[in-house]
Amino acid sequence: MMRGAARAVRWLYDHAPWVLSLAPAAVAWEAVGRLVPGLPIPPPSAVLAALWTLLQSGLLAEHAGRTSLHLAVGFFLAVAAGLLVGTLMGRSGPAEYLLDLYLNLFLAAPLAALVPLLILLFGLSATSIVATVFLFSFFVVAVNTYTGVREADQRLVEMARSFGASEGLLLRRVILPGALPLILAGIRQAVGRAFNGVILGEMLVSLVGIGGLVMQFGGQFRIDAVLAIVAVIVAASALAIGAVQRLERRLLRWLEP
Amino acid sequence: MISVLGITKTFAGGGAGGDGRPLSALEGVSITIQDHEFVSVIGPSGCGKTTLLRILGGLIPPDTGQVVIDGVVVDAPGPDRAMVFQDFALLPWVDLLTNVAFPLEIRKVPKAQREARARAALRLVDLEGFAHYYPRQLSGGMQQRVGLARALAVDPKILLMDEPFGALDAQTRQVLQEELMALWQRDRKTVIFVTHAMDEAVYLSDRVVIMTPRPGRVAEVLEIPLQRPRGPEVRGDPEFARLTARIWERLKALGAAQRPAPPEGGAA
Repeated sequence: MMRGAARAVRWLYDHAPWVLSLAPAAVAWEAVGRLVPGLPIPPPSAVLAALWTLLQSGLLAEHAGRTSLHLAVGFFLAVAAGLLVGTLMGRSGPAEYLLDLYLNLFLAAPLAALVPLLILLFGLSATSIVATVFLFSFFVVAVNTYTGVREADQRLVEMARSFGASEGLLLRRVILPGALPLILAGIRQAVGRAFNGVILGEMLVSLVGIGGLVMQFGGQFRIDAVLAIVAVIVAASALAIGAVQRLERRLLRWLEP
Repeated sequence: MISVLGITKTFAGGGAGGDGRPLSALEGVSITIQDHEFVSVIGPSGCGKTTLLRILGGLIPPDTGQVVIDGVVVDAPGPDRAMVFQDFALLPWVDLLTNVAFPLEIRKVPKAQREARARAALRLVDLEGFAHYYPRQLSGGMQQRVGLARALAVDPKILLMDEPFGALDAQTRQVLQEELMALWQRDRKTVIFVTHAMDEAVYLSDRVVIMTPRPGRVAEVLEIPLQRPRGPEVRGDPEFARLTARIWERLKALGAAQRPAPPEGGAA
């Protein structure tokens, strides 16, 4: 019995460190939740129960579909535009001169405060939500692409030019592959930002999607359900970031010693 | 035939010293190089020898003067020339075969054909078995053989070599010099070889162009009358020692030896 438990802990230690990180906090939280009456924070067991209800009723699945769509469209548009603008800025002096300021302004700006402006522009629509996702994730991709392209290894650029490479081939075979580590790091950061963007957009725009669900339950002070949804968002975001990390490992194998 | 006619090049505030003053790299350089000739350019760091090579390659234009190859003025890189770089300049994200095939890809050679030619070029430098290795998996000497194979893959008339063995240890350097000699002996491409190693210049060349310190001018063009083909035994020839000493005397007289040489940057 003891041996089996020890082996289980050992397995968790090796394969799922997050369980061991979370378990003591969950136990403490559960104890406080049960022993201190009237606390507004529901214990983990209540959150899990709420999660189960959400999953069983199909409510979560229904809204997750819409949210995924907003997220995917906004994110891929942001990545495509970020690659384009970043490359342009890295290769063209005038583009760099004109756009550098905007990139820095938007990286520093509190983007959440700009969402009402998007709603004014696009109305209470899916477009506003997609635009919010775009706003949140575009700039890190653009700035990382720009930096990577600008810092291209000049010796390799010169080599390619000496053999008569066109700008297109130079970009495709020399500059962008060299910038790839930075570009992928930017995309990885953009994933987390896109999740923030989609939830915020949905919270402010509509009562649809996961963000809408958060607003709904928040309004009813159903904190157990809100926390359950937050846990689902965090898990989805972690999975998406993990996918990008796997992509990085595969595409950047040439970097390994 | 290559004619370098009165070339002058000044870099605006881009000196290796970084003091922002215009840097005069080359001044009135004229050289004529015959087909199938192996010519070395030697001089202290900062004498503009790399600049001269980049002008020959068509990568940068001279301020005055011109380079004429077979009656055509050089104003851009061309298929008649291929460069070999001191730092190898291999693409780290693709294997050796793709690296060697890269100039052929630039020239829009179909994939199957360029891979066959790249394989043949790798065979020339004894690296055929490493076609699918990545550059980082190779020693410096092997990487530079790939750099040489890449230049040979396009079968240029002229090889422009910029201190190609400068980053290698003495032993590897000597091995590669001998390999280069054997390869060159096959079809005797015209080679312009920038170096700061005197024995290397003597061992490889038909003529050695000795440059002055900044701004670079031609101080002397020295004939190397050693017999060809040259094997390693040439290094023991008394004439070899005499010619090497001759270059050393000349460089010393030019004041190159006493001066602490600044690092040779991209502008030098």
